[in-house]
Amino acid sequence: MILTDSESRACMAAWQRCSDEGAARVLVEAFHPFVASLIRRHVADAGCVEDLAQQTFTRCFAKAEQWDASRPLEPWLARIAINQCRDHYRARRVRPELRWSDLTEGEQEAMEATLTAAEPKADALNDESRSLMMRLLDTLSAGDRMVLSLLHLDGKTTDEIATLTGWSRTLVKVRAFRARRKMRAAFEQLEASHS
Amino acid sequence: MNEIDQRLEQLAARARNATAPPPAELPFGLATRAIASARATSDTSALWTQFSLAALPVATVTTAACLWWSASAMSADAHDLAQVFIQTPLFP
Repeated sequence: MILTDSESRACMAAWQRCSDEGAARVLVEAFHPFVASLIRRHVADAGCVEDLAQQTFTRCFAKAEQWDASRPLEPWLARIAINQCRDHYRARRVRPELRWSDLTEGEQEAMEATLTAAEPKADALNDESRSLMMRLLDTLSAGDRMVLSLLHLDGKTTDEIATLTGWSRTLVKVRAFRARRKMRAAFEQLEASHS
Repeated sequence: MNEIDQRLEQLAARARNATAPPPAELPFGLATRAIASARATSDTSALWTQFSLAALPVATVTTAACLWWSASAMSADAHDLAQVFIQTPLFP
């Protein structure tokens, strides 16, 4: 189901006004693909996607009074989903280091292709590269992971990340700089464990 | 940009081109669960707000009574102290 901006606003306003269950169902049906794909891009474990999507909609309806009716619903929902992903990783222990033996065969291939800069071969390893990237992100804290994931996997700009996370532009830049440094160290460690 | 950064950038670029997963089906009952859960959260917060509002006059009256009692005790103490000073000869 696809809703226009005005239809989604009308549904949210109906929920805000009188907790209209029908309107809420329409919103879940319309925005579930968007929310689920956003969560899937940031959370490696596919089993968590449904739970996080449910938590996103729960928070959206429970905090409906905080939604500014003059703004579109989608960015607000995206912000809630991103925060849910961050909370998900905050609750999890950070993997202290990543070693060559921890990687799957495909991830090892992707790493070797990256190290040897074998472009034609590496281009066939997009899925494995993504999986390897997720492993490297696992070595970072929840906030660092989120900022690099938005920056490198989603290709978002600093301004877009600031809007999504609610952080200032300076904080996003500083966080990205520090997170990149940590990921570089994890990459070097992984490379050292291979050679 | 150093060599490691370049490699990481290449890795990220390939990761961005990874196959997009098929669009997720709406899990059965997700809307019902989300709505019920949101209502439960709202009910708890509404109950807490109601309790806080009801407790506010009681807290105000209690605070006022404490202040009045403490002020009167202080003035009685000051009166007693003044009496002691007045009755004590300066050069015994």
